[in-house]
Amino acid sequence: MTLLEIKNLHAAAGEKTILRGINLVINPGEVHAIMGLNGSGKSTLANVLSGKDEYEVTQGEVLYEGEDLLEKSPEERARAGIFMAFQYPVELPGVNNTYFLKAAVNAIRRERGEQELDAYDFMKLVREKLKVLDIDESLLKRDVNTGFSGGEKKRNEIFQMAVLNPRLAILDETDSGLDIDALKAVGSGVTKLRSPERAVLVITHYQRLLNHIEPDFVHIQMDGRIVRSGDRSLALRVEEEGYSWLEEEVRNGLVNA
Amino acid sequence: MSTSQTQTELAPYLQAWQNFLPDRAGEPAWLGTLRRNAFEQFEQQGIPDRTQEDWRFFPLNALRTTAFARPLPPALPSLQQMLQNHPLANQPGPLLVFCNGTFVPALSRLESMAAGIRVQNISTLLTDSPELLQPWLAQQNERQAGPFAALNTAFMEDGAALVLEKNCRLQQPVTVLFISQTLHQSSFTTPRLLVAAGENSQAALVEVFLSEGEQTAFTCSATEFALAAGAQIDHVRIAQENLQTIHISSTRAELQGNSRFASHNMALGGMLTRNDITVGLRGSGIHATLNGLYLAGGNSVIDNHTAIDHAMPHCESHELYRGILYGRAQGVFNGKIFVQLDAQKTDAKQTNQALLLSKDARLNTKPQLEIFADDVKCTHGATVGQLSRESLFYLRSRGIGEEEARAMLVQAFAADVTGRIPLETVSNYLQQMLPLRF
Ligand SMILES: Nc1ncnc2c1ncn2[C@@H]1O[C@H](COP(=O)(O)OP(=O)(O)OP(=O)(O)O)[C@@H](O)[C@H]1O
Ligand SMILES: [Mg+2]
Repeated sequence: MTLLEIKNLHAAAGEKTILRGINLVINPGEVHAIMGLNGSGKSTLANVLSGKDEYEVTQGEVLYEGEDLLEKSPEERARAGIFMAFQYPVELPGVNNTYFLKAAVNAIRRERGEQELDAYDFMKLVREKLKVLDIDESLLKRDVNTGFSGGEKKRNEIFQMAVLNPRLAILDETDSGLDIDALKAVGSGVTKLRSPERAVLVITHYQRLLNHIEPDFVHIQMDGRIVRSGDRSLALRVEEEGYSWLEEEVRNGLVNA
Repeated sequence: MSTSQTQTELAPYLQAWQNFLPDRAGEPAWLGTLRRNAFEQFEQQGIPDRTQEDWRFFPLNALRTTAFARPLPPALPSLQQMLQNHPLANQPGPLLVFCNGTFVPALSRLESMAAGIRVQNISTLLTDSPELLQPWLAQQNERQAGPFAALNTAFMEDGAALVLEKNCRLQQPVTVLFISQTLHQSSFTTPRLLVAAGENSQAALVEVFLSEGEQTAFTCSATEFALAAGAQIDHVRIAQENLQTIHISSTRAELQGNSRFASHNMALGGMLTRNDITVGLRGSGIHATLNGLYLAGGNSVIDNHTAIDHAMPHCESHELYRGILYGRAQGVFNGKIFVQLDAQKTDAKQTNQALLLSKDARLNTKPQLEIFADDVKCTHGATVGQLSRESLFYLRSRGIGEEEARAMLVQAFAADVTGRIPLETVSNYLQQMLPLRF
């Protein structure tokens, strides 16, 4: 079964229309990348998928595992296996990282009818993921994202992803501002997640992340629409030549069928 | 206030006063004088009404319409049960338990103290060493402290006293529990705490107000601190009575040079709560900290009035109050800071931050800085807001339900205040007492 199906999705923030008819199908096992100019609505798409209420869907629908995704609350989506690594993770002073993550893990487990993890099993899981991602344990003692450097915040997102083990991971510019080592860690985190049941949607400006996460499909978003889809070579071309050739073609009516 | 009105309002108190005095015949004469003066003052001032600026937001009608009687003697078995596993009754250090105004030795722990340290209930001290109390008891600004401090002094039955001689330090906190057992009738109690800290002495006190039973009660509390030069005192005050309780307290501290005083005022219960905290900085090099957390829901009202009087140069005061209001709760924060002409180089900082978690919750906040010296640093700031939508969304996007997410953010907000209490058991306890639903 298709994991995610986005059909003619239109969304607005207040008066401003941002998404103008997104169509996208993601099957289990696939990795999709979305690229596009600043302001083309990539984060908005990710936010709408994870249920942020400041956006209003004005047209279209989204099916996740065959069910209407848009009527679900953000927590229901997360419990159903959707995870979004935010472009700008918020700081939560006073909320301890471990406490937070344990609450998240157990909320998801409860929903699935699984037993909650006790402190011991939870710490075992967490330590294992820290090790894989080469993240220092001191992260656990800190408040969520509070005072973290840009790179640390992104790593923390990937760490959460690894612990929560989602079916559909959406990474919104997780590669921006990362040094080479961190980029590798993100890449290996995503690679570990890859399996025939899971899928990944990566939003990025740079094809360098795609060296670490081999995408099956690359989409270019412009002004709230996906105007071109292709394979890896599309990402390479965009990186080399920019978007003007594509804008030209779009003006001449050459968009995805 | 018209005399006839005052008469009827005060009738229950007059009645109680007439019954109370004869019982006190065995007390030292000086205390009798204090009591009579205090009651006279209470009568003169009466129960304040809302035309008085300091009581504008505090509805005292309940005090006019309910005839509060003196309480019944405590019933011990249920009390014992209540305290058996109570984290604050079981933390290390001396414990004094009072119920309905009466000291309960059976549930208290008065360990033997080093020389120069006296931790005792007031009525025992009045019999065996009144000279320890006389210089301190009810000696601070009784006239300015208002009608309820006077009411407390008039009716003060028992309470806790800590008297520290020069250089004496307590390793463990002193815990004082005031419990009102309101199983059968509406009653009023007058808990008292007195701390006289000699030069360079040090202690921490945890003063806790609890109730057993769901009847209305009126707690009229008074606490006094006298810190000699270099003394260091932490005072945690936790008011956690039932949702029918009227709790009115006055805390006064007089601080001498280079002393350190920290007040942690935690208001977590009650129907009507009014706390007045007044601190006088009478020497130089003093650090005063006034922190507070207030939490109210339903129809509760919580009113904190603080006043810091900088009389001498080179002192610092830091004040941080945080409030959490939900339901139809109303909060009041009034923070006065006086910087007298002589108090050059004063560094005073006041912050009040509140979360309003429902559309009907209200906060009235008023900083009041009166500065007569010219070379000082005084700042104040107040912010009132809701939980951050971004933060809530972040938590929910990880699978955490909305209700739990809200509770987590409220706990985080409170932790900034509770985390400043230098007693881990106490700050953990407070965090656990926060509601899980708003
Ligand atoms: N809540 C909002 N209210 C108003 N405008 C918004 C809101 N959210 C996004 N926008 C606008 O919608 C447009 C698309 O924003 P979005 O963040 O989705 O772009 P993006 O493709 O992710 O850009 P970038 O590459 O810079 O991250 C921008 O013009 C942005 O200012
Ligand atoms: Mg973006």
